[in-house]
Amino acid sequence: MRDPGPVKVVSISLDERLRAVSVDDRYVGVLFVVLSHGTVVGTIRLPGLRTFPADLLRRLVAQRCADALWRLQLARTFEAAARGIDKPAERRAPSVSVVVCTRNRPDQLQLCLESLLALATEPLEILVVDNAPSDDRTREVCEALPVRYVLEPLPGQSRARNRGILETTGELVAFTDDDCVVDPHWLDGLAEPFDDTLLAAVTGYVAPLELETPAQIMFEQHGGFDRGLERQVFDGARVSPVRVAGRVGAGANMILRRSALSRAGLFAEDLGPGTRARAADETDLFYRLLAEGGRVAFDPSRLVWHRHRRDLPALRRIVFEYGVAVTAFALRSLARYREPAALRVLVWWWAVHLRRQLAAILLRRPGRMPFRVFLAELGGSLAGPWELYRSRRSRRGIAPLELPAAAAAPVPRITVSPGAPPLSVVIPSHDRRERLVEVLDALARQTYPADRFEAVVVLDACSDGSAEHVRALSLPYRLQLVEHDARNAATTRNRAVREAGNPIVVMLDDDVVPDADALAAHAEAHRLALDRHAALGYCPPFLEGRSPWELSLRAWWEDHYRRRGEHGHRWTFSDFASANASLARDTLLAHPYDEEFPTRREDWELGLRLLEAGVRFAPCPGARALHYLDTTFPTALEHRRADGRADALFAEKHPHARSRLPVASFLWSVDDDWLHERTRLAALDPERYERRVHAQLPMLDVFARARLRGQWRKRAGRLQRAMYVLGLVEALGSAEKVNMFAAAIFDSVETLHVSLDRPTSTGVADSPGAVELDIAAAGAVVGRVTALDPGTQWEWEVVTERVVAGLGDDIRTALVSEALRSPLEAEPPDDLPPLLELREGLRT
Amino acid sequence: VSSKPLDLSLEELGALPTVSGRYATVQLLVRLGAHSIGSMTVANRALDLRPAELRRTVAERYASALWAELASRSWIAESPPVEAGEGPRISVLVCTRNRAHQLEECLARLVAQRHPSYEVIVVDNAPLDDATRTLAARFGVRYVVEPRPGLDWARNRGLAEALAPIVAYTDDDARPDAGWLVALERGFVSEDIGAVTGFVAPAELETRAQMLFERVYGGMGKGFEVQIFSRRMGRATYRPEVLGVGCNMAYRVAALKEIGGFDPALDVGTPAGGGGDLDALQRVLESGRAILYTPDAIVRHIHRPTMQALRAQLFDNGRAYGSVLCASFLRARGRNRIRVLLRAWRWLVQWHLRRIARRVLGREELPLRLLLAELRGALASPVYYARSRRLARRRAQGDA
Repeated sequence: MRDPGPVKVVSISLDERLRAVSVDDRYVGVLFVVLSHGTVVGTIRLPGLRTFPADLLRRLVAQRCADALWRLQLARTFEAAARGIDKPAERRAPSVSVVVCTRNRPDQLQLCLESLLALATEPLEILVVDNAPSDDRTREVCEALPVRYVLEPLPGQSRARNRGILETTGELVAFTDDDCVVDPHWLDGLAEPFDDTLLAAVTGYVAPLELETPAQIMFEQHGGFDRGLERQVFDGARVSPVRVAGRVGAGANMILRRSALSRAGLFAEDLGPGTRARAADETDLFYRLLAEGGRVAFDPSRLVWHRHRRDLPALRRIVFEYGVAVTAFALRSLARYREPAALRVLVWWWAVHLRRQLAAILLRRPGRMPFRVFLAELGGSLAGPWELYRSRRSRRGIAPLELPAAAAAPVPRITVSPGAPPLSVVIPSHDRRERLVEVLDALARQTYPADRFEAVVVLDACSDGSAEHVRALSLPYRLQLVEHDARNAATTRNRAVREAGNPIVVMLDDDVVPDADALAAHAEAHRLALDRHAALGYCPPFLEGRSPWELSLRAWWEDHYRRRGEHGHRWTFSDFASANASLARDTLLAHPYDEEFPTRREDWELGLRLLEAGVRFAPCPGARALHYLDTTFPTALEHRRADGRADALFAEKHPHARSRLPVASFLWSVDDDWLHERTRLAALDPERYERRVHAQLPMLDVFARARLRGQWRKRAGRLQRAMYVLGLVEALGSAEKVNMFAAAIFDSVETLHVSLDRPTSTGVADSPGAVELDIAAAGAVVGRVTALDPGTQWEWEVVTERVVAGLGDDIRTALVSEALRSPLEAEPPDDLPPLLELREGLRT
Repeated sequence: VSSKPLDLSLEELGALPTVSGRYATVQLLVRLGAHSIGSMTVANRALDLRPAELRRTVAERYASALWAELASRSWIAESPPVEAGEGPRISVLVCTRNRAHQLEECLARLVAQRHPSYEVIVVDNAPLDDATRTLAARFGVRYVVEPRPGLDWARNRGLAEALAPIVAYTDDDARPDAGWLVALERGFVSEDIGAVTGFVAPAELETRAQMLFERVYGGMGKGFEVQIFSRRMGRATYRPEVLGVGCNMAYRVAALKEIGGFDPALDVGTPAGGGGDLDALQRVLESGRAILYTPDAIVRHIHRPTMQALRAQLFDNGRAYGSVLCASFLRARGRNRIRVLLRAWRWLVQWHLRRIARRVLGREELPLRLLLAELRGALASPVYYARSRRLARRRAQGDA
């Protein structure tokens, strides 16, 4: 093969003034990796010149990276304008342990460790796991540097990685490889993404460290580690985990959340380099993290430089290994996790990928791989099943490493101050005997003194002997037990509040089990802020299963709590959930639950009235209570129907807030024809309509069992919407009334204005209604985007993406047009509009 | 239907000059400072040309390029001024023959260049009268005579006469922009750049022939992105037509001398009919130096006005390009010979035969006569090139 000659890799940052780049004569080409705000915005491959002056670089970057830069800049400006420019609150950064697994490569390891020691955000610890070494050189390298060294004698990268996880303590475990050099800002700003409790891992951009040899150039040309330039979040509740697992990131650049690992398990020890299966250990882990409903974010601003293998035999070996790994991973997922989508991966690999490679070779297309490399890949793919079998056999009898049962994370205890007010804990309950007892037991374990609170349990039409069970308990605190027969959650709560004797009422539910210091946190919140406010606690959802329904339910609740805690969050009624909230008893007596809302929406309706009465909402993350969700999908369908009924009533009672209610968002975004057809059918024969919906449940069950998540989600969404329409029709009376109702709502749809010209300090409110965003730039409204889809919650990332994708071009045109209005000067003026100023700080 | 080419400078974007009603459209060359951004055609109606609407149209069309240009202005300080040395920094060579009326306009533009240190040399190629000499004297520019007919003889003569380390070539029917030399000189960013080429826009689009040449045939422009060509990365290629055009190119004198100057067997005045520019650019590339194309160096060119002249030009283009390929073939060794042949084959099939087939199917605007003229030139080019070489040898011997 002809040697194309070495290519120099140069990174240029737009955050500082461009400088001329000199390139040694022996390089035939240059690969510029262009960074802005630490994010890769593009790569430019050029033939080598001895000098690239700054002016030429500027021109080339402007030509090649303009669109990526624009999207980045627009997203930043929009977020600043919409959410306010004041800096987000200082967050406690999660602790990070860095683990590097290595084997007999002390020279490269040295470079890697030096880059790790130069990180801007210092990690908690740096651990080197020496995997079955043949000499002592790695140990010697580590002893000279302030890093820890651990020996793992059993070969296998996955084994070594597991050892690393067990040996470290950080909340996050960051992995890089011994042939990598990390960017100094690799670990910066991890608090924000990991605020999302479902985020299991962050991966990043892997750029080539050098392109000196034909093998390295070829590896880079054939995709390398290319994962694109856009930030992406892969949500296990929404995508097919098997199909995206290979795309979410590379093992050379991944940061994992330890608690997610304790749920999903560690790296599979029969996969990965050092085993017969050769690779795919991280792919398998990503798969499991996603299948657990976790999320994996690809973030191109986390940069690691990887030294590709230098010699061609090594390249062939890697390609062979890759072939083995893809096949092995797919077969293993098929056999072990019963994932039918793994078949699609296999079909894609054989029928699309390999065929394309072969066609490129046969047709001598440019950029094809050498035939021998292709043969290696084909060989690997063929050998995959056998190698997987061998790998599993070789691990027989060796117990894989496992995380010890998670010791409860040490949480800072909330001290009880002497001035803390006495509390009444009110618990309405209906036929949930065991859970109720569990809740009462949890109250007995509170750090808050038992003589400072009482519990008021109101049993609503219980037929399971809850009363006897509760009476049989011996509890350290005062307990009032009331039985009544209202069959109405709102009435039950009101009754409980009336029975409460203390000035502050903490509302719990019979499926919400508080942590030991939840009451202390509530009391502390009301001691510090004496005004009328509602302290809203955090109820992480607890679900046993992994069905698509359960995953989406969990995702909804976790998003709900995360959103409340976000910087710049504006409070709305939909933030108010009765469970684990505390208010002054007087407030609740003055604003009781509306008893016309028997099961659903009673808390949002109260939330709306509270906000209008000037009651402040405040998050109270210290008040943590586990929420046992046992809603099955058929129950959820009934809930949707009740939601429809309640929302219609809600809109009728609060016409001024109509456009902000979820019903508005629903009607706004569903297809008109679909809605007309559904309302007609629902009005015609409600029972038949309901039967038809329920008749589809078995099929849904089949999809869930077969792990056809996409199909499940599509149909489940359709059924839920159908039931919601049924509820609307039931509440409003006829199909025509629903249509009139929809028309009335469209007339009052809420529009929020965001101006990109001058960022404000306040930003705009988020809202659960059918919100449209008007975006103004260069002094005029450029266009509008719909912010929400029905059933979803406000998500800044989604809104930003919609603005950038939907209006980006128009905004840019408006901006350029405006800039051309004033005579352009040679030197840019000092007060450029934010969209034209790429860097702050440079000018000062 | 004719069109009026105009410059549109975004620095002082006012109303455009009134354009005569006989033009259906106006072809705007959009420029921002020293950079050219793009070329767009707008209807010649007063309403469309109001500043606000014009601005909007330009912004819509070039939003990406303009935003990048505006946003990147502060990335660097202005490039440092070049220090003045001994003598001119750049020599402009205009080779001409018996076209004093054309040359006058060209010289007027050349003496008004914004560049601080340059010389202009008029090379008069086997003249029949004194008109060119008188004209040169009137403009006060250097004048040399090359008695052997042939553009490349004249170019080589000019090269020998030039005092500066960089020579820029243009034609007598070209109208260089005031910033042309500055932009060309800026293109020599690194010492391994052997040549810089620039953008060629139409000077007028009055006749059908000119419109056909510019809009349908493709004209002479090479786009609005800076490009760097080099042989060092990747395989040898034989597509000199992407590198530049003879009326807008500059060379490092050392690089040009290293490859032995222009090939006198090529270009106007020989049976090959042209191609000396492409051949020289191709050889600069083969010598291991890089070529930079910059859209900022602008020359406007008067395309042939009559259909007859256009047909002659396309015939010339056919035999010239074929001759350049012949020259490349004779020069190439080993596998590269196959590459030249492959290139020739593709040129015949993809450029000629495909367009003729499209014309037959009614999907090509260029008249068949023109297409066939070019094909005829192409097919006959080996014969023409052989004759040309013989002739060049004879003239060289006569010289000795």
